[in-house]
Amino acid sequence: MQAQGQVSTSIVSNGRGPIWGQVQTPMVLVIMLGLIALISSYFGGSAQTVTEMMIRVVLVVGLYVFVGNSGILSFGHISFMSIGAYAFVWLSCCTLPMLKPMNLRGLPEFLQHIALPSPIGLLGAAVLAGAVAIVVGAILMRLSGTAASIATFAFLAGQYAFYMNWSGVTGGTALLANLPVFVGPAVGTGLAALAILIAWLHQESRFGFMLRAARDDQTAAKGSGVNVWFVRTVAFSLSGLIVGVGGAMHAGFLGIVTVDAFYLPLTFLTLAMLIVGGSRSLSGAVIGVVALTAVTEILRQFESGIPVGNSVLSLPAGLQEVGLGLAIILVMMFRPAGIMGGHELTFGSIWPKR
Amino acid sequence: MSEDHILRVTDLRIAYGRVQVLHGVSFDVPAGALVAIVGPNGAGKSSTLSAIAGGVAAAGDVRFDGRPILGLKPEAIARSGLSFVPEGRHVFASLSVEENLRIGTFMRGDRPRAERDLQLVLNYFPKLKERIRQAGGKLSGGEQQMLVIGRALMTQPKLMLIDEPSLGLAPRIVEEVYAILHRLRSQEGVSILVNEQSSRRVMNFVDEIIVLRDGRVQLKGRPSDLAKSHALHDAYFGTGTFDRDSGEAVH
Repeated sequence: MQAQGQVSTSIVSNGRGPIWGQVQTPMVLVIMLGLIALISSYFGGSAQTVTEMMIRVVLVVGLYVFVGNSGILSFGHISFMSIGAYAFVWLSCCTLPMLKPMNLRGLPEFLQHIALPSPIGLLGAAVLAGAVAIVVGAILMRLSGTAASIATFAFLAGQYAFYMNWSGVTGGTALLANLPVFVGPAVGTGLAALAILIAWLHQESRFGFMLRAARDDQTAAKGSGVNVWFVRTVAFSLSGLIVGVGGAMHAGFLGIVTVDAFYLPLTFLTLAMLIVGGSRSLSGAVIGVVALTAVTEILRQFESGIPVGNSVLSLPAGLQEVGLGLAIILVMMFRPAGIMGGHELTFGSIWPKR
Repeated sequence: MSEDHILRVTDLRIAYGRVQVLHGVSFDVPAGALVAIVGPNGAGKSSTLSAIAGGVAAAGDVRFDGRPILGLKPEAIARSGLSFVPEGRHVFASLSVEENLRIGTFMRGDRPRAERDLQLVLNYFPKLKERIRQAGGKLSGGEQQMLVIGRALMTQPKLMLIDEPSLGLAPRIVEEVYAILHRLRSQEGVSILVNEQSSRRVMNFVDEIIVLRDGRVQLKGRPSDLAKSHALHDAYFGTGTFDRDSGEAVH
């Protein structure tokens, strides 16, 4: 094809327009999380709640990388959290050296007597979860939309049953304790920022664009030369890797793990956070976590009792779950595409231009 | 003579389950020509284009630029320079016009070339230039049709297959779209094969018309020749008798 005639104006770079607009999103999100952490610590808020929120940001942002960009719902991602958490255990457990050979007799000899520094355990979690996600993704992404979703659920159930019964290596139904605790508000916020940055880089890369093109119209994407299976597998792997890091964070925050923790309740909570925030944007993923964490936190305060004048106002237990469900229904009624509705946060959207 | 023909279709047969929809269709697209397959509903037009583009399993032989392509994957065929624009204006609704256009260039590394192609497409479709930042889903029907044709063009195709570009468009817009296709063929040397229900709309723009009905080629020829006889009408509606090879009506 010969270019004929000259176009005088370049439409791609109009000053600091589009590129600046896109860079703002991860900046706004990270600043927002940083402020939440700072303000909460200044007012003596619970460091636990903040850390827990940051871990969930990592999980939901990880989930978003695949679900948001591909449009395929995944029920299987908490498996990668489990895989990440146990990889962390295998590499970095325990604070008491004799615990591992005692509890995890099935572990290979070279893993039995090591307790590597936590960052290496975290890295190992990312690598193992990512590697499993590549294999699982390469297989599942041969399926289309709904079939793929159901298959992710089957994967979750299979992985759960496998780890439950792999007693020599995972401890089975037993609780493993004495893990090194290294995740607090600061580390949590840092890793959440890293997850946001990676998700944003993926979303703005050609892989992100091709993936969303396939989400909008698979036939046309193939016709444009997009290898749909490949871009989906890439996103699934990256997404599994990030969620795996979330698993190691969970283990390195609580200091304990059980296979039980990584199953349906967390699957549905993370999906609810993504959908309430708006699964079609990175800002939606982060806002969903912040919003639902705020709702649960406020309800928890009420449950434990709030002093009003001379008396204590205390609401019945179980209100947290009911309130959470109610909040989800309300958001879905009034904003079916989630709080963000597919939009990204920018500085301009927080402080509108005069 | 594969040098003169960008596409050679020989004895193409398609069946959906037990229903045979194409019974051995053969035709050629000369390099640098704008050819239209015309026929009523259910003639097998869309199936023919889908099969060539790799979207539907078929038997027979399809040679693109001298190379057999039947059985290859759609994305492999697309990358070899054959671009398929399916029916129904498949824009990427959440991507901007510019992103829609750029998708086709992601699989190749040549950036300066991609920039040039973008400018070229926007020269051909000035309406898209006005809406470069808008989401593809927010465009009008005509603009969406132009967007999908422009997107196909971005993959630097030697041959474009376009399924019913006039579907659901106002006559004035149809004229506009075909005028652009005609210019693309003459000025860029892109070969184009379109499907249409009505031959009337394409008569003035195409080099050759192939009439398809009941899964068979009924007639082919230059529009000026076909216009003279009743053969086109007969072939389309299946009334009367005619000589299939010469296109002459036989009484």
